[in-house]
Amino acid sequence: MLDPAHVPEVGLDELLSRFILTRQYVNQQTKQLKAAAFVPHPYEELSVTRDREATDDEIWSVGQGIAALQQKTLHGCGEVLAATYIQQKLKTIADPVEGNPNHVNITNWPSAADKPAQKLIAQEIAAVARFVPTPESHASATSVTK
Amino acid sequence: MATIHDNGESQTAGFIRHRMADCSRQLQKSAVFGIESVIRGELADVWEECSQPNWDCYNALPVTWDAFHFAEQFLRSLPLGTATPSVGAEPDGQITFDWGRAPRRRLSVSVSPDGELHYAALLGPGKTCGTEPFFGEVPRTILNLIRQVR
Repeated sequence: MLDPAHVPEVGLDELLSRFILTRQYVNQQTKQLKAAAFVPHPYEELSVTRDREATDDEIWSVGQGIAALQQKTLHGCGEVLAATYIQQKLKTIADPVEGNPNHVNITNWPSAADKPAQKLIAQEIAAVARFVPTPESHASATSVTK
Repeated sequence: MATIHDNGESQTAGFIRHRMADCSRQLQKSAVFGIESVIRGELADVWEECSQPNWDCYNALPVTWDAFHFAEQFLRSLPLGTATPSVGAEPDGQITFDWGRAPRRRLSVSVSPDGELHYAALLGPGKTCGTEPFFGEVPRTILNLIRQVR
């Protein structure tokens, strides 16, 4: 993971993962992520984790930590290139937090009052997102499913 | 005069029985039963999973009874033969219906607790979004979009 004291800006080619902790964000027929997975509500920014200087195991451990803390199941993550967010006129802001120096906020969303505009951007992101189900090695730690 | 088969059933009765079985199978595949199955399955699952706060671990608002009620009405008002959507919820507590299998042919409609329908669609190179009121009938705009992403 990144050194919290030296966190670089997010590069366009970095892969940013949005952890998925509910089945409702996955189309069960197509196994594609729905736009809802990328709607920032109730916040003004979307929380993701960058892969820079991090192993897959470290990234999954962050997601698993969130799931365990809230007694939910980590269903997987949605991988999206940082460039995709930039193309949608959003900003990728490095935001290291305790336990996750690779944390990034996606900002500059249309206001929540303009819900259709937010949905449309989320659709664009979901259309290119790759849903990666949680690997077996990180799937078993939490027993509660809903 | 109808002939009697070994099991005591006339040819006519057998024909009718077979036809009724065919019709029953067709009906079970039809949109009416498909929608009913969505209501009892996916929509009920949404209510079960999302009617409590923070159901997505990102502080999502709970789905309300009003949103659920409008969502059920919306599903029942889809014309016969409409493709069944994938049902879900959004972090603001609205219920969503998603259509489309191709990445750039997708439609998402959100049903709000006050009966508004917010939609966003990718239509190949084009895209559109907007809001329509729901008065018990699915607005033509949304029906056209469903057809375009099928």
